[in-house]
Amino acid sequence: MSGNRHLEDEKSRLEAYMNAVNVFRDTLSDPCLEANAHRMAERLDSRIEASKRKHLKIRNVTIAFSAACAVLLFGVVRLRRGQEAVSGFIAYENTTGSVQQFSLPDGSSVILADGTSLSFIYKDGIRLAALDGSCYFDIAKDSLNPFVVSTKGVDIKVLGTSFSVNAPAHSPRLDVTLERGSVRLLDKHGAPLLRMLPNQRAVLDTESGDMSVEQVFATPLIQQQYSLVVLDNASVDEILSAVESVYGIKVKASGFDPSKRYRISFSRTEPLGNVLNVLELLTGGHYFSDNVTE
Amino acid sequence: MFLDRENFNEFCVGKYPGLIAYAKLFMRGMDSEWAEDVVQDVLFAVWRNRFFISGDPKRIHAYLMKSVYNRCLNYLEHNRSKAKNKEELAELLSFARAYYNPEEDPVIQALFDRDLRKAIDVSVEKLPSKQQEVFRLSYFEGKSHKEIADILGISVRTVDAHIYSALKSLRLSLQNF
Repeated sequence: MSGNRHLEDEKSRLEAYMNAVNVFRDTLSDPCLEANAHRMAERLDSRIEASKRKHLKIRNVTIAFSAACAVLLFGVVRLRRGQEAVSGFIAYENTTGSVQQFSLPDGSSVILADGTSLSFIYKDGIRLAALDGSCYFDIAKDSLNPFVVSTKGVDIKVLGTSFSVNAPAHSPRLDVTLERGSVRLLDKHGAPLLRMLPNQRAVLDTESGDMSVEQVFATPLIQQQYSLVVLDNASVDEILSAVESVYGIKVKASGFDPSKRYRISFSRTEPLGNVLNVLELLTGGHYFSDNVTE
Repeated sequence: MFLDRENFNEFCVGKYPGLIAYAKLFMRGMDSEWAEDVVQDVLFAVWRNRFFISGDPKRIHAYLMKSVYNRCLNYLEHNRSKAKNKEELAELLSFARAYYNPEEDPVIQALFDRDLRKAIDVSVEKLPSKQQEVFRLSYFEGKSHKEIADILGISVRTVDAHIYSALKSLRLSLQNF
């Protein structure tokens, strides 16, 4: 009897090996394997790059906060060792008069419009953000912990994507513009309202329950809305890394003083050449990018 | 070991085939895009924890396999309530727990690592010649069972049998690996 069970077990084990050999063979014979590997490495690379930049930025923002006392940062932040670093919540309120970009503890990047508040918490494996106002989210991919934005009784559920939410305080209206990825809108009982595709904008009236979806060009719309980049008390290196990430280019720089700190603001829609000119006037250095068209 | 990004990049590209194949093992017929996410998440965690990870390639491989294993089981467990055919998923889960755990089975560990193929190679050399030939064609050259049957002029069923016995001996010789 026990010998029989042993035999069954051995058979299953061999079946497991067989599955393993087969799946490995199928994978190796896939002609896209190498391309997929490099694509994954590239994405991983930009993810690492983004996480580094975000660490830098959050430091900048904190410095700006304490210096100007313009943005309140409060809440209970306890650091645990390991990956899920934060228990407790963090609240951000932007009263600076311009948009502010920074990152959340999970590595997601957000751009907060003026007069907007946002709080963030890890709860039961869910990244939960409560929003009052307008905010652009670029959510860090995490397959196990979904990200939920909650505003006016509507939940926006995502895994890794970028989108903008406008929920003006004194209006029942709410709109969501999706740039890439996909998001789900849920009502307060968790019932699905809508699944959005990139370049769609959903407009909801939370009082009447009316809802409409239109096709838009999401990226320019979002850029226009969150066009102002403000860097306060930033070194040239930090300014350049912001410029590079806004324009998606590399800047060669020389002749500046790396220890000095500046305040600079520019519109994301401004031509790159103008921004570099202002930077030259401000810091006395020389800045050059291959992508500048005169 | 990976203080250097380029170095890490190379490492990731090298590890990708084995890890993606291993993740797909848990995804039978399901969302294969998710396997990509798992591998990326695991490698990202390696980068973040790079100062705490041993430089021994064998131990790194074990760590990667275990991470993929954990994430995949987590994912299946997560999706259990939503799944359409719960029974099939439950079956896959218990099968995976019993037979795909890399910590408990050195063969599973070795099958997905190109570096450990040497170990497999050595064991394969000890097999009877027909078994050896069939197993080489299947595992190292990626031929399907049908193709092997055609090449060697034997039936598919015989190919299956040879591979089964080859894997059986492999299990014995890798036991103390």
